[in-house]
Amino acid sequence: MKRRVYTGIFATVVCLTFGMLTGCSSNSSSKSTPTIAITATGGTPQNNVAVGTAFAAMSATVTSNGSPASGVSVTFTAPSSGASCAFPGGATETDTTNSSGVATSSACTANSTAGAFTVTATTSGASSPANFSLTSVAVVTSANYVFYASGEDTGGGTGENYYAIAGALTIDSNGNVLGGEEDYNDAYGITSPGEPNTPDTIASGGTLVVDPTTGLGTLTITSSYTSTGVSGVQTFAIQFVNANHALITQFDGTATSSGSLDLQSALVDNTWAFALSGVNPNYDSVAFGGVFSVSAGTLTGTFDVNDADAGISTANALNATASTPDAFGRLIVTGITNPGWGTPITLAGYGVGPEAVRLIDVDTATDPGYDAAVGSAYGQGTSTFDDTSLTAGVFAEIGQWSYTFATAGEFSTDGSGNVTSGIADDNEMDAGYQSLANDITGSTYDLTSSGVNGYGSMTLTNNGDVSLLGVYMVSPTVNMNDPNNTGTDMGGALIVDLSPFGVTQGGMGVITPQTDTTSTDFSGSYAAGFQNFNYIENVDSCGDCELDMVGPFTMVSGGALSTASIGADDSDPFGTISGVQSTGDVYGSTPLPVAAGYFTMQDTNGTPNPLNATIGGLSGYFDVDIFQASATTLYWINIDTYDYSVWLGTLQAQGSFAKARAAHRLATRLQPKKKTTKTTFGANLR
Amino acid sequence: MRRHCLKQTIRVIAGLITGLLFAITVIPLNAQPLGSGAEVPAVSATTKAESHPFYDVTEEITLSGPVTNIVHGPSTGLIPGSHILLVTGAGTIDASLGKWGLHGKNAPTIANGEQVTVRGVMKTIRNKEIFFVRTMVVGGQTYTIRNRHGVPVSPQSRERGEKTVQKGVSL
Repeated sequence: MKRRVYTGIFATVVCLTFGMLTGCSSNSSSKSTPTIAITATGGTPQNNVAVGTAFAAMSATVTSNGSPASGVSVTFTAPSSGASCAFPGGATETDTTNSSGVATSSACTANSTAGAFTVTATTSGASSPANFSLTSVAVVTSANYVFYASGEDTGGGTGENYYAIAGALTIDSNGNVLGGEEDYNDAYGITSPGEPNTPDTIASGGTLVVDPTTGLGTLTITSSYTSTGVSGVQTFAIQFVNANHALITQFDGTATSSGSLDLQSALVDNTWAFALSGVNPNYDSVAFGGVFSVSAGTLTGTFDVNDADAGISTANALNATASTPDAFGRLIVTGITNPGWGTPITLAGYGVGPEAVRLIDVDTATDPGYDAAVGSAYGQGTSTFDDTSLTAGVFAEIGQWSYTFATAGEFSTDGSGNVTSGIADDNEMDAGYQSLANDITGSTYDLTSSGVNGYGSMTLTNNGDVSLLGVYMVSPTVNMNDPNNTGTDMGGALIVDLSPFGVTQGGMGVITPQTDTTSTDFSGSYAAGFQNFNYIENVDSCGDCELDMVGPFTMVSGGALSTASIGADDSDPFGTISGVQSTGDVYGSTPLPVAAGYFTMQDTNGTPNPLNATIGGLSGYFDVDIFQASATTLYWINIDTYDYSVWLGTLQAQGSFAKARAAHRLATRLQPKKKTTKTTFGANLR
Repeated sequence: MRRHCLKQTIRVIAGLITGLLFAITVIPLNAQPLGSGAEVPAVSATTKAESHPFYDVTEEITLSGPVTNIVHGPSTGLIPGSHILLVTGAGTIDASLGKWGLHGKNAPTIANGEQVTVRGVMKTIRNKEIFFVRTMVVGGQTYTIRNRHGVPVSPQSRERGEKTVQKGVSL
C-alpha cells in the first residue's frame, strides 16, 4: 500500500519532469530539458565468481538534474555471447527506480564461460549507460596436493627428535579437506603403525584457510595416527607461492619443520635424480643421493651415502622395485640395501607430477634398520648431461641433526669442469666454524667421468668442511622448488654432502641455475621461509633446537625487504625464542648488494643492516646473506662468525594463488601469549 | 686449510700436556657400558673424498683432572654445546662435550670438583684451544660423547646403543 501511494505521488512529479519522454501532456515544453544520468552504485566490481553461480544484485541510481529520479525504468543488459550472466528472464531485465532513484536488478547467474565482462544499465535520456564489471572464473574442482616436511618433533614430550612427514590429501574449492593419507616417521617410537603398506588416513573435515591478500594461511588435518600432532590433529602454517605451490611448517606445538605443499598430477618420467636426508639406525645423520631409471616397476641406478657412523660410500648399485601408485599417488619402493649397515630401506613415494616424487623412509621399529629420512626425486628427462650442463648456479644445502650446518654460494664455470668464479658462505655452527664470502674460485666439478648420466660431483675449495658434493642432475624442464612451475628456474641438480668425515653428514640441497644477478630485479612480492637451528635458549634450555618461519615478504627494488602487513608465522615448540607458534611476526632490512647476485644483511656492515625480527613479541636480529639465482628464486642463509644460529631458506616470487583450493578469507590469527617475560632475543654472542 | 695449519701446533701442545702434567690414563674403550652403538665399522666402498677428517682419532690423547666449571648453555666466545673446564698440570682445559654431552636421557651428571678423565682431540677453534671429548669417565662410568668421527652422540643413539648391547647385537 505504501508503495502504491508513494508511487502515485511521485508519478506526477516524474510525469512533469519527464513530460517529453513519457508523453504526458503538460506545459513542459516551456521548460528546459533535464539532465538525466545513471550511475552504477552497487554490485560492481564482482570478481572470482565461479561459473554457474549468481553474482550479487546490481544497483543503478538515476538522477535528474542531480536529484534522485523515482519510478524510472532501468534496463540491465548482459553480453549476448562469451562470458556473461543471465537474469531470471534472460539477458536483460528492466527494473524501476525507487524513491532514492535506485533500481536494483535480480541476481544474475554466470554462464559457463569464464572471463571478465560488463553488464550495462540504461535509462531513457541518459547519455551513457552505467557499467558493472563482473568476472567469472572456471569452477575450481577439488584436487590432490602432496606435502612433505622434515624437522624436529617433541616425541610426545620426550625431547627433540628428527622427524619426517609426507602425504597427499584432497582439498575442495572451499578449502575443505576431503581425505588423504600420510606417513610419519621420527624413528623414535612415533612411526606410522601400518608401514610400509598401510599409511595413516587423513580424515575428511580438515580445512585450508588462506588470507586472500598475502597467501598466508593454515592447514588443519586429522590423522588416524593419534600419536602425531595434538591427538592426531596436525596444523601447518602455509604460505602460498602460487595456486599450485606453498611453503609449509608444522605449527601445532608438537613439531616444527620445513617443507612444501604442491598440486598433484600423474607421474611420467622414467629417469630420475634423487636425494634424501635423515637419521640412520643409530640415530645419527645420514644422506643418500643418486640417479636411477624405472622400467616396469624396476629401479636400477647408482647412489651415494654419507653416514655419520658408517662413512662415505659412493657409486653403490641401486636395485629396487616400485609398487603401483594408489589413489593418492603413493607407491612403495623396496629392495634397497643400506650399504653401511646391510639393512633394507623401504621408501614410500608420493608422485607430485610428471617430474617430481616426494620420498620418505618408512622403516619401523621392528625392521632391522629403524631409521628415518625424507627427500625428493626429480626427473632427468631425456637429457644427456656433461660439464656444459652446469654453467652458473646457486647452491644451498642444510644439515639437520648430528651437526647442524648450512652453506650457500654462487658460481660460474667454464663449462669444462672448472669454477671460474664464486662466493660462498659456510655456517658450521656446531663446529664453531663460520665464514662468509669465501672465494671458491678454483673449485671443480665432474659430470662425465662416472660414466653414469647426470651423476657427478663438485669439489669445493675454501669453504670450510664442505669440500665435496655429490651432484645429481635434473631435467632442464624441472623447477625443483616448485615442480608445477614450467616457466622459471628450470633445471639444476640435487646435491648431497660427501665431504670427508667431520660435520657435514646429512647435508642435502640443490643447485639452481643462476640466470639473473641484477640486484634491482629482486623486487616485488615473495613467499619466504627458513629452517633454523639455534642455541638461543631464550625460554627452554634446548640447545641446537629448531624454529621455522613462513610468511609473505615484499621487496622494494634496490630498497627494503620486509614482511607484508599480516606478518609471518614462526613455529618454536622448543622455546628457542618465544616458545610458541607466533603469528604476525615482523622481519625487515635493506639488503646490501655487494656482488652480482650476492646481498648482505649484517650487523658488521659499515651501515649495520641485519635482518631485524620481532618473533612472538621479542625483538632481535639475524645476520643474513642472500644469493640470487634469479628474480624469482633466491636463497638466504643466516650466517655470522659468532652466531649461535643457522638457517637456510628460500624467497620465491609470488604469483596468483586465487585458484588455490582453499577458503580465501581472512582467518582469525591469534597471537599466543609468549612464554617469557623477555622482550628481546640474541642470536649473536660476540 | 685451517686444519693443516693447526696440526703442528696441536701436536706440540698435546705433547707438552702429556709430558708435563700427569700420568695418562688409558681409557678402556672396549668396556664402555654406554653408547657403543656409535661404534660402527666404516664402509670400505670407494670414496670420492680424500681422507681429511674433522676429527682424527689417531691424534687422541687422554686428560684427567677435577672439573672447575660446567657450562650448559650458550656462552660468549665458546663454541656451542656443553663444556667442562678441567684443571690439569698444564692449566685449565676447555673440554667441549657437544650439544648432547650433558643433555637428554642417559647423559652424565657432573659436579664441580669431580674428577673426570676425558679422551679426545685438541683443536683450535676461533683462535682458542678446545678439547673435543670423545669419551669421558666420570663416577666410574664411561660415556661416549662423540663417535670415532667426532660426531656428537645423540640421546637416542645412547639409548639405542644400550639396547644393542642388551641384545648382544653388534652394529
